[in-house]
Amino acid sequence: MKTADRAISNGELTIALAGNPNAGKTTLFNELTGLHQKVANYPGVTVERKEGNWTVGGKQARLIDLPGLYSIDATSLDEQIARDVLTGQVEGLPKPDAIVAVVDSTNLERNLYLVTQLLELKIPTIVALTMIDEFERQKHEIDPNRFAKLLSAPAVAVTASKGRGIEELSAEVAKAIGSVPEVPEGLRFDADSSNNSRIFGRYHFISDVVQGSVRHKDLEAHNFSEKVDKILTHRIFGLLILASVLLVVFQTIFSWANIPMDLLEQGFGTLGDTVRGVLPEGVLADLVVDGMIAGVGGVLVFLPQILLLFLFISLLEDSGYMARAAFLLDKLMSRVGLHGKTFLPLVSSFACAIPGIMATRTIENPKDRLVTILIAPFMSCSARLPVYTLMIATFFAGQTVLGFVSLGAVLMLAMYTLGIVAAIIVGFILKKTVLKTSAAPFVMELPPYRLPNLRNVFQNMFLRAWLFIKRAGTVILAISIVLWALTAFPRSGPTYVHLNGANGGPTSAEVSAANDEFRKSEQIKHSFAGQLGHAIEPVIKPLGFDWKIGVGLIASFAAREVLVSTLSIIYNVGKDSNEESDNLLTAIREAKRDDGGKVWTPLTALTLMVFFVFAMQCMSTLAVVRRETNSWRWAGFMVVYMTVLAYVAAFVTYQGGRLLGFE
Amino acid sequence: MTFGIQSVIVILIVVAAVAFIVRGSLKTARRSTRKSACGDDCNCGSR
Repeated sequence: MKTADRAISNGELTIALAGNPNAGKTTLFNELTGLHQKVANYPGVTVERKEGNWTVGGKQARLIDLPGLYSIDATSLDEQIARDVLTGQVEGLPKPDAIVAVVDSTNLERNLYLVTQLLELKIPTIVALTMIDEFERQKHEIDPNRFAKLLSAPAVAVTASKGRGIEELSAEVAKAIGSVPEVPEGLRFDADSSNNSRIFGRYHFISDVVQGSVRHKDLEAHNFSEKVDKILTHRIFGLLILASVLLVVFQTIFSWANIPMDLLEQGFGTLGDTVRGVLPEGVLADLVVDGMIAGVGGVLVFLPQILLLFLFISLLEDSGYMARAAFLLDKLMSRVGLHGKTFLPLVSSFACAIPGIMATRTIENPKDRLVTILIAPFMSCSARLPVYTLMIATFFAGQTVLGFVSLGAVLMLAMYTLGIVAAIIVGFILKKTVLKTSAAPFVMELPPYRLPNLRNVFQNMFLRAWLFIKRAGTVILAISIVLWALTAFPRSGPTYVHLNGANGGPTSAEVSAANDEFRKSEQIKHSFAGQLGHAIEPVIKPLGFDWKIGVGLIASFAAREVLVSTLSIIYNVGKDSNEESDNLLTAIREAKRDDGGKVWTPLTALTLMVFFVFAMQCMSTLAVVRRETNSWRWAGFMVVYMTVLAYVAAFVTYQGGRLLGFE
Repeated sequence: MTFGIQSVIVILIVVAAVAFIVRGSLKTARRSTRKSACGDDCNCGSR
């Protein structure tokens, strides 16, 4: 490519229109050119540029609309094209005589970043401040003269749709053409200064310009928001408030979800009874009631919790508080060297690790991106919620801390915190060892506080609920059927307990019930699932788990919530709804080992929850990791390190708890 | 319904469930071995 000659010699001017996407560039372009634009392609690229004619100071000018850009660092194709146009590197297109920088006034800081780069090109640059009416509605006021002086470039406030400021803009452009502007002092960097120091230098310059020229008319509201932020983003109070908000959320989830959860449980119990009444006794009724209804119902009863969790997450997001929470935790993460952009994928992972891992695409550095992918599954996703809730409802329900805070909510918060802490520590270790990189700067924009949009909130909540139901009706149903088959076959022969029914002993009904119970437990013990569970029992015994939990653990490597389905099937819930053991919670509490001791204790429940915080139990996540890293190596590494970590953490919890005298 | 018919229905349901899981796993595996949009460098961020 050759440098084109300046077109001014043949009387035609070339003016480039540059700005961030959605800054109002096209509206201004149409207003300036009177919609006489044509569309042309740059040679060899597919990115369009628009051209039109504009009369400036009595002279005909060729107005070129560049692609929407955030910067001209030339890291992306669009930026490269813009840079080539602005430096006159495109054949047949002269170097612009002037640049009109379109700046969205409502987003001054972000938009001015590009302007600081344009000013370094030494081409006369005129700033067109768009969306000024919206800016004024937000109770801000800008002094264009002061702004222009601080920026060292002429500036005109325009409202293109109403034609406001167009003539002034034309006059300023005509005045600037032919001049050789100087780079403002705040943007003169040493030749050997690093990229990071240039970025910080630019933002420093922008901050000076904005603070010196913008006045907040609604100072009270602005000050209030700043005061609130000072507390909410305070490194100590902010974290305490965040913990309190989450505690309230979890406590509310537990207390509000109880009634609908009981109703759903009763509903599935009744459905099981009805189906058993309709179908003839035998293996088919067992499959439908003990496999399908117990498996899917066991997971679906947690739907109220999922709905409430996403209701609160959406409310916090929409109000602007989530961005403050992100800012707080980002401070912690950057302190241990994690990239600032790590936080957003991690926040997405609270719903599900898959969108979280996909969101890592915004991280430019491959090593930083890989670290984020490897730690994203530590965030407690919604599939863990049924497991945590089942354990909490079974062993810790109704207990309080300090007399008013629910122990369940505290434990839930502890599990979420444990996941975050694990992610930070593992991220730190990975960054210091296998994936070494230097810390990159990151600027986070805090959105204004606002009342949540209820439509958005409910849409988000129902979308997540639908995904949960869909998963229960497909994957969980299929796994439940297979698991039931593994617990029901091979069939063991009839087995009886020896009870004497005569002379004041147990009644014949009691003998029959005891025989039934004994037969069921013998059947599961000798089934394929039972054999598998017994095979891994020695490995999981140090964690306080028996073979039945072992079966659940193996099954849950497909998807975490399958543990609940498996326990429902193994404990044969729903077999006879008038029995006390119909309830999974009661069945778990009363489950006995062969020696008569209790299988589950509060310590076992806590150990299981800790295991689930760390373990990589999700096939879909693994597949996404494989796709995003283009290697099974990292997916395999993830399974191994997370499983080892889960085992060690569960071991420490159980054995440590026993040493401290807990059961 | 005789024991034989019940057994056949149960076998069919279990086989269908296994087929569903296998099909899903194969699909996921195929999707995961397809290269990501940005190639081998595991770096989509700058594009």
